[in-house]
Amino acid sequence: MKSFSAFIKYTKLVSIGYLVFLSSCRKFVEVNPAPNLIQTSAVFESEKTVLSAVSGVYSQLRSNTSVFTNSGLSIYGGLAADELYATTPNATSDPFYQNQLSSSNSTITNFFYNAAYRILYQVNVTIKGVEESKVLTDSAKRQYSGEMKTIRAIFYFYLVNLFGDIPLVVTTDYTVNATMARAPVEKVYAQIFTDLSDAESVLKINYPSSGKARINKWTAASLLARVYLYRNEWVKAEEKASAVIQSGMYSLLSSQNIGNVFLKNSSETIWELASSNDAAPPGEGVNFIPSTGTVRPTYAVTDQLLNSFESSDARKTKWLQKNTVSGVDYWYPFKYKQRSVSGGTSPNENEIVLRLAEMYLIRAEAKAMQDNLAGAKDDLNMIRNRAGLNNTAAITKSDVLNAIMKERQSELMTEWGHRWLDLKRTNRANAVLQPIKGSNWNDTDILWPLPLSELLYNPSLVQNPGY
Amino acid sequence: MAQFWKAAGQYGTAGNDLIGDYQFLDTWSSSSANYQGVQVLLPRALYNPQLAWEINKKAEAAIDLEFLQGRIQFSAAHYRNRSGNQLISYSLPFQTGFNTIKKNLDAVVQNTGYEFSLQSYNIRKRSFYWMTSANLSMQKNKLVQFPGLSTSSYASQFVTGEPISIVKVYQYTGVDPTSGLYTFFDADRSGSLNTADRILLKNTQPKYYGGLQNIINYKEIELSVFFQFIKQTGLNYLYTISSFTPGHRFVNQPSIVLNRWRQAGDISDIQKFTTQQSGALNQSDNLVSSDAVYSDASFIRLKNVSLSYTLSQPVLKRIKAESLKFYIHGQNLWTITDYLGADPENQSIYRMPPLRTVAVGVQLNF
Repeated sequence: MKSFSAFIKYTKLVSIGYLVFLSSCRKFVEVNPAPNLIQTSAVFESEKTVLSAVSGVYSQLRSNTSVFTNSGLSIYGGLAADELYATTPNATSDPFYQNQLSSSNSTITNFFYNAAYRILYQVNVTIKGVEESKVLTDSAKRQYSGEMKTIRAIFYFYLVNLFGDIPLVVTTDYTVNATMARAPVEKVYAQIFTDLSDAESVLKINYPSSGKARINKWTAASLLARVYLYRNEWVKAEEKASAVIQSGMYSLLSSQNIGNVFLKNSSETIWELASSNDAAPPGEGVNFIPSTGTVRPTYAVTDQLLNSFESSDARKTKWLQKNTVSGVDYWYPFKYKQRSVSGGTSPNENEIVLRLAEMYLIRAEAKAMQDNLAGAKDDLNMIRNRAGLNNTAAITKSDVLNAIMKERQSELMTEWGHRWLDLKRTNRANAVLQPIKGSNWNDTDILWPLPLSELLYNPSLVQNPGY
Repeated sequence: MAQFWKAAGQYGTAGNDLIGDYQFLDTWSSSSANYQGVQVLLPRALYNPQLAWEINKKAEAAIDLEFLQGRIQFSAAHYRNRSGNQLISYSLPFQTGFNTIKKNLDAVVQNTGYEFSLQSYNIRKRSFYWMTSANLSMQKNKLVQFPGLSTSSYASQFVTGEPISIVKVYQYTGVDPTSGLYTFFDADRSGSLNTADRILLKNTQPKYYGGLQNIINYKEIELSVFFQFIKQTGLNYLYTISSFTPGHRFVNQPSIVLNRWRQAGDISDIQKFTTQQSGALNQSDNLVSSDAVYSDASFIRLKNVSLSYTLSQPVLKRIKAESLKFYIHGQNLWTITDYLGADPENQSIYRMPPLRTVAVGVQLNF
C-alpha cells in the first residue's frame, strides 16, 4: 500500500512537470496578438468584422475624388473619347485628350490599374474568408459573396475594356499572383459571367442596407445585361434588361423632373456608392463644377458632344451648365449638382454606378439587333420622351441603331466612360476620333498601356502594342 | 627579415531581424472611414508565414609586418561578407494587391575587399626625416546566387555574378542625322525601346581607391604632400543636362549645346531642341538610361599640400609664447583626369565642385 501511494505521488509529480513544460513551450512558440491589428482568419470569425470588411470594399470605391470609380472614368474616359477637353493646358489630362499616354502615366497607374487590383485583393480575400467562415449563416454568406462577386465582375469589366488582356487574379496567394501573365479577353469575360451569374442567383431583391448603397439582385442583373450587350449576346442582353425594367422597383422620372435623376435614391438609380461618413459629394460634382460662376471649369464639354443634343432636349438644359469667361462659353457636365457641402451636412447625391435609363438603351439595341425594330423604338422613345423629345424618326435597322448610339451619347455623357467604351465596342473609335484628334490618333490608342512598374516587377507581362 | 609580425583571422555568423513585429501576418486595421455608418476594416499586408532571420557570414584575415627596426610597416587585410536570406521589402507587381511584402530573399550577396597600407621612413636622421605612407582599398560586391531571378520582381535589375549596384542600360547609337534625335540599339528588334533592349551593364562603384602621402621634415620645417586617387566609372555631363529639362528648370546649359543638331544632315553629339512633350523629350529620358551618360571618372588629385615652420624653444621663451607656427596650406591644387564634365568627384555640372583653397596663416599660443 505504501509503495502504491508513493507510485501515485511520483506519477503526479511527473505529470505536473510535464504540464509545466507543455505550457511554457506553448508560451514560447505562440505569438501574442498584435495590438490594433487583426488577422484575416479573425476578421471572418465575427459577424461584425465581416460586415466591416465588406463595407471596407465599398468605401474604397470612393477612397478619393479621382479614383476611377469616383469620377476618374467619367473624366479620363471623356477626355480620351470626344466628350471633354481641358480648358487650360494640363499635364495630367492632356495625355488622355491627345491619346498620348505613356506607360509611366501616374493617373493610369494610381487611379486605374493599381486602385483596381488593390480592391480586387480585398474582394478576393473577402470572398474566401466569407466562404470559410464558421460563424456566418448560409444566407449571410450568399449575400456577402454575391456582393463581392458583383464588384469583382465590374472591376474586370472595366479593366478588360480599358487594357485588353489582363492578369485574372481571383485568389490571394501572392506567390501565384506575382508572376501571373495576362489572360485573354475571352477568359476574363468568362470569369465575369460566372461571377455575375452566381451573384444574380444568390442575391435578394431587397437591398441589404438602407438606400441603394449596397448590391442587390437587380444590380447583378443590370451588369449582366450590359456585359451580354458588349459580347453581342442580344437575346440574353434583352432578357436581363427586361428583368430589371419589369422588376417594378425602378421607374423613369418625368421630363420635368429630369434634373433629379442623380439625387440619392431617385427612382432611376440601381446602385449608388455612398461616401465615407456620408460627407462628400461624388467626384463628378467636385471635379466638373467650377468654384464660381465666373471662372473657366477645369474640363469643358466638346462641340461634338454639345452639338449632338437636339434643340429641345431637356437634358441639355438640366444636365449641362455654362460659364462665360472673356466672352467664351464653357459648357460643363452638370448631372451632379453639388461641388461641396458644408461641414456636418450630408450631400444629397451619391455616386451612381448603374441606372434604369441604360437598361432601356441596352434593350433597345438588343431588340434592334434581333430585327425587332418596333420594340427597339418603343424603348428608345421611353428615353427620348423623358428628355422632352418626340418619338424617333428612324425607320431602317441601321437608322434605329444609329439613333440608339446617338441617344447613348446624350443620355450617358461623361458618365463612367460610356462613350469611350461604346466607340470601342462598336468599332467606331478610329472613324469618330481620327478626324478630331488628327495625327495624335493611332489605331493602338484604343487600349491604354499597362503601368511600367507592373512590367518591371512581373517579367511575365507584355505591354500593349504602341507603347 | 621581419622583426615583428602578426596574423589574425576571424569567422562568424550573425542573424538579423531588423524589421517590425507582426510583419509576417496578413493583418487588417480599421480606418477612419465608414460606409453607411459601419466602421470599415482594410487589409494592410499579405501573408508570409515563412519569414525567418537574415544570416550574415563574415570572414576576415589580416597581417601586420615590420622591417628594419620599424622603418617599414606593412599591413594587409582581406574580408569576405556573405549575406543570405535577406529580409527586405520585396517589390511586387500591384496585381497582387500590394506593391511590397516583407520577405526573405533567397539570394546570396557577397562583399569582398582588400585593404593595404604601407608606411616607410625612407630617411630617418636626427634632424631630418622623409616618410611615405600609402593606402589602397579594393572592394567588390557580387550577387552570388539568386534562384528564380528571371521570373522574380528583380529580373530587370540584377544579374547573377554581377554587383547588385549595376544598372542595365540601352546602347546609345548616336544622333540620327535625319531626325535629329538620339538613337539606341533595338536589341530585340521589337521596333520600340523596352526593358529587353537594356543590354549593357554599368556600375559606378569604384574599382579601387587610395592615397599617397609624403612628409619631409627638417628641424622646424615640415612639408606634407597628399595625393588621392580613384579608379571608377561615373555619370558625365550628358546625364546632368538630360535629366533636367532645359528651359523648364532654371538651369544653364554647357556651351556644347551650341553644336546641337539643327537641320537634316547635321552630325552632332547633342540632339535637337524641342518644345513638345514627346519625341526629343522622350529620347532625352532614354539617354539617361543609356551607356552614353557613363564614362571614365577616374582621377588623381593633389588633395593637400602644406608647408609649415614651427619656431624653436629658445625663441619662444624670449617672447613668452607656448608655440608659434607659420604655415601655408593648399587644397585641391591639381587634378589629372579624362572625365567629361566639371569635376569627377561630385560628377555634376550644376553643383559646386570641391574648392581649390590656399590658406596662409600664423598660429600663436600663449
